[in-house]
Amino acid sequence: MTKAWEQALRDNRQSVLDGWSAGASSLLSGGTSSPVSEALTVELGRLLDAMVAGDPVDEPLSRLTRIMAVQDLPPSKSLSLLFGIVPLCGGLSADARDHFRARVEELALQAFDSFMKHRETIYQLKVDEGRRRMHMALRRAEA
Amino acid sequence: MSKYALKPDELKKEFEQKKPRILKGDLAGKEWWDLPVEFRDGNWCFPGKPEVLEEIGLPNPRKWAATDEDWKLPAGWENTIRDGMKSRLKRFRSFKLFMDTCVRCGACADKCHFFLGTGDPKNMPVLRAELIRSVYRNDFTLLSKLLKSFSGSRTLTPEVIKEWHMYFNQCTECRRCSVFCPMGIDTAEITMMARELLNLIGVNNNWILAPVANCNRTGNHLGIEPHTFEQNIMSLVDDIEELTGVTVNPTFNRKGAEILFITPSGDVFGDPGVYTMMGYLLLFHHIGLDYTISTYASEGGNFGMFTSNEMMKKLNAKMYHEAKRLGVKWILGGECGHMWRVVHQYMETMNGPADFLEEPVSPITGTKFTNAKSTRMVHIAEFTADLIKHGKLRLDPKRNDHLRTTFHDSCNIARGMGMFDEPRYVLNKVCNVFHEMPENTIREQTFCCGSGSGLNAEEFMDMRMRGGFPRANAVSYVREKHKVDSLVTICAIDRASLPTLMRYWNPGVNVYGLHELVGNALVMEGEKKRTEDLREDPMAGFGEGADDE
Repeated sequence: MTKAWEQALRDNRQSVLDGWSAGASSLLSGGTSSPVSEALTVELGRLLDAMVAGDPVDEPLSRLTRIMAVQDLPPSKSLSLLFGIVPLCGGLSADARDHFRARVEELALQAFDSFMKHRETIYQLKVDEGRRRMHMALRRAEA
Repeated sequence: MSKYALKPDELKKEFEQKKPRILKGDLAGKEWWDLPVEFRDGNWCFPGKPEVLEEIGLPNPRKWAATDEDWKLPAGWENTIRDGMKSRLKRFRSFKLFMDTCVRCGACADKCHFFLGTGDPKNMPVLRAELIRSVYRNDFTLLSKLLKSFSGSRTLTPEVIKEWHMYFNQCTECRRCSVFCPMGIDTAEITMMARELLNLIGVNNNWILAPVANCNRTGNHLGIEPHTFEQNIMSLVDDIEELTGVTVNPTFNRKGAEILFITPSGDVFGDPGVYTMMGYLLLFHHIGLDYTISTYASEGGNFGMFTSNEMMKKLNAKMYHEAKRLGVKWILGGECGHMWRVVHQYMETMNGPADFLEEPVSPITGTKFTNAKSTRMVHIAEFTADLIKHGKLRLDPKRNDHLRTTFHDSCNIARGMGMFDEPRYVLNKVCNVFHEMPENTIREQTFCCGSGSGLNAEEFMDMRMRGGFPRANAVSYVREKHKVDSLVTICAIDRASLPTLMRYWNPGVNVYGLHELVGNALVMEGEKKRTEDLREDPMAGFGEGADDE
């Protein structure tokens, strides 16, 4: 009997996470031994657990894409890390594999929204920083 | 030479056969410096505007961008760089020493926040220094020139200049690497020299040079004219009166005052620096200090430090000039980072001795600040710590109970002055909740904000977020473990850049100056009931109906 993808991930959590994390870290110029890579691993673990438990993934996905949104990578490559989990989840029936792939694709779309939100934050931060620098001038102008 | 010694050709051949090859893939067989340098949005700062360069007399004013193929370097730029290096190797013994002494042990490699945040090998301090050492060896040491490949020497080309510009502007001169260097190499000084050399040929950063030009013209980085400078502070006086019911009375350019107070202009103009300024004003009023503020020496910071030694000296000179003109006894300095590196380590020899000033003595406690005997300038954190130690301040730390704090050691204060305990002592007296970040991220091992040394440019935001990641990570740790929501610091650049860094990596964490919290906690004579802090945020337990006594 083949398992549901959630069960397969639960049974092989550590090996899946290790593989996923190694693949994701290889996208970064610092490889697997940097604090960025370590943070990425923590967030991938949280994401994995949320997926398996059927919990909301917004928070781990947001934290993950926040790291990726300022890396020296094009968005397509940054978000490709999500698909790295697909070949790591073995022993699935064709049907279960399709379900799993669909779930990952759904995640990727969600991640795209989140990634863009962080990019928008960067632009907002630039504006806000300029305003804070001119705080007193703006206050006088608005008085 | 011994007959057994290998001849240069033999040595070179042997080295070529045996040397390790670490580059792989497309770069296999190439040298480390062949790793491409690519300028993209977010990883470079806009160059100095032509009018800015003209204003301060710097060479090669022109319009250009780091992404341009042709940087329009001036004719003979190679000789300009070589002559500039030659002159600096003679004038600065440290530069010569740091070019010669590195043993490539790698102790510095993983200490740089830019390396940790980007993973780019050229951000390892040892390799960043090699960018310039490789040219030094080629042009200034005969043996290395002969054994070019063996010694890692290379010829100066426009690509080398691009590489220097990229990586010496991904160093914030924070000196964390130097703490771990067994040879005592101060990479910040190498970066300072590299930036000086680049400025000789017009390769520069507008976020540094525009403040330099402003400071040269008006006395402060923001280019605030004297009347506006005074009006801004008086506007803060009104805010203080509204919040506390107390009228503080700062004076400006007053001859005969005992103390001249100088702080970064960000405290007079920017948010959240202005709240720190309000804290200073309340403190000085509380103790009845005889002080004055100058509208000429209206900047503590010194972006000349990121341009050239000569520019640093020129911009710094106004502090002593003004102290002399006003006839004060000594100078008190506000919360700033690199300002204190300039004051503590260079001012006395650059523009001193300040014989016309006295050895600083606190008029309130009688404490002699013997550590400031040569500069005659005292840091506000030690001044306030001394006041508290002698029981001269009436403080109510409960007024900061709405904040759960941690402390960010500013690089130049921590590593440049060795000041770790005074700000912590003050902080622990003015608030009740304080948690340290992990040991290897504070005190002399503190991580930079990622935006120091003039890299606080908006267009550099992506790189700043990556360079600031190690600091943000440490804040994240105390946020999760202790619910910390307030990052306290004693540096104006930190106050400008950390709010941005926190909002990206740790939303919900706000940034405060130490003296803002002092201002919150001070119980002023004749004050009205306090319910809000200096930002007009409600204090916990001080709302309507609450008894604050």
